[in-house]
Amino acid sequence: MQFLNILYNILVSPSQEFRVVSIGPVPKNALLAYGTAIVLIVSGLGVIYSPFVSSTEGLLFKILFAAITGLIFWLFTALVFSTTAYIFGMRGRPQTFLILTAYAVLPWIFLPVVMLFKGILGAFGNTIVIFGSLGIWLWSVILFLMALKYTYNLTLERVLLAGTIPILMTFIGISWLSGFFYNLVQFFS
Amino acid sequence: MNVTASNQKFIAFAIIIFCAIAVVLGLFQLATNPTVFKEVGKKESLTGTFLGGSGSRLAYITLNGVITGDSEGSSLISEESAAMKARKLLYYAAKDPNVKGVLLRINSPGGTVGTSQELYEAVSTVRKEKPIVVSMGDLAASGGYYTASAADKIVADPGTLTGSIGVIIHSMNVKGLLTDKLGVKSVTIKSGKFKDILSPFRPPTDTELSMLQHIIDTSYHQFLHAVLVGRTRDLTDTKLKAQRIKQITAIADGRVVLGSDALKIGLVDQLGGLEDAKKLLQQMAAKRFNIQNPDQLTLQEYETTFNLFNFLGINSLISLHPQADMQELDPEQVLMTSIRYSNQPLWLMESIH
Repeated sequence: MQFLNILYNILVSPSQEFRVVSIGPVPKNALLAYGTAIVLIVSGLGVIYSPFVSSTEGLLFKILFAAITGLIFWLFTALVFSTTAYIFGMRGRPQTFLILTAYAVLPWIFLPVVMLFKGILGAFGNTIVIFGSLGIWLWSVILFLMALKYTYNLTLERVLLAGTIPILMTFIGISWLSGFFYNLVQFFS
Repeated sequence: MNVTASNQKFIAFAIIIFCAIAVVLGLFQLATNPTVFKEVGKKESLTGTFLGGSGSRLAYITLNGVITGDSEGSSLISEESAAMKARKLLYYAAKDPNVKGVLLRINSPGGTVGTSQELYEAVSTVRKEKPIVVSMGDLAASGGYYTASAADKIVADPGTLTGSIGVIIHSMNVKGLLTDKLGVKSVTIKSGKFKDILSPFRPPTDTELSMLQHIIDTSYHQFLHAVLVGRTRDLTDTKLKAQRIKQITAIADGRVVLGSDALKIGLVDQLGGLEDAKKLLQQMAAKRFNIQNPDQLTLQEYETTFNLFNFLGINSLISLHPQADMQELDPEQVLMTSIRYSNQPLWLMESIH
């Protein structure tokens, strides 16, 4: 399989592509390289349309920084989910999950296209930008959930449940931190 | 729909090309994006410097709100006052070889005497090393003007409120209410007869009033002297110098003047906004340090604390909208300062509340 075919399949028929990666006899290292390239490109692209970036000054460095940050975040996300899966005794290879989650960010390559409408068609153009961006986000989230499904062979209900775990863990994390800071304030006051 | 492998490649390739064109257009849009105060607000990060930027720059420092040495915030997470932060930044900027000039933006009704004098010293220190221009916001009065007067040049908006050269001691006498009406009696044990001067439970004696007037007069003369020194330092023409001293002294009775009148009197050097102040500073710095192109001196918000985003150049623009200055100036803050520092001379324009 070549990169362009994979690209086409991820965008047009992701189920087939994800199934091939999860169970098929494919060269995982090559796919991992493709996945890394996708993550780097997509993360770098986000800089051009970031609200924090308003000029081209130092843009190359910012793109490089964003790409590296995106790479780290990708690995971190995979690590968190793989660890969670390991704790609950689910079988699935981290390498497969890494590849599929990288594929999941591919829809973001359409962001530059969507953002072209910003400010050129007035309110209509801005509406396209808002709904286009949301559409890309939703597409990407669905692909991420599919990555979970195919890596760990989960049912739809379990996929949805797994998708809510980070949100639930955030609440627990905030609660723990609140307790910590509460005690800290007590100590200083 | 069954698409052949070669067609898949073609479609994927077309998508990539399409997206690549969109990226190029996006970059073009970014490069030509007209931003308000883009020039003034251009912030140069350390990494920006590494990637082709110049090391020479102009430092932008702000002095907003009442001038006091107090810390702000709660006891757990307190922050030094805006005045003390500005003072520290001025000294850092004076020593920093990359800083070729300082633009100090003042929006203050003044404050305590000591801190205002420290700020004056800090501005004078910068002035010895490199050009410093003050840009006045909505208000730069009393201690705020005192600080500004040490700069090389002062630029004010025509509607800026400035002046208010004078000293005030604020005190309350609650004897009528607490003692006469409510019967609350104060017991004072003191080591000397003047230890409870300006006590709220009794009116001041004539001797005390005379002593306080002496303090006020001395503080006033310190104020006026410093302003006159600052505003005439560069004048070589004796007649012009004498005229300016006369003009400033004539209005040094605590009155507040508009920026347009301040120009006529000689309290400020030029009318204009932040952009004008920046251009003036660029020219002065270019002349002082023999820099061919003044425009290459970019204005940078000056910070001493390490900020990862600034280091990496992610926050490429700083907000320099002059309208935002007034948000920093809370009339209640002025009132509270007046009450908090009662019985002590203040270089504060109290009338804004």
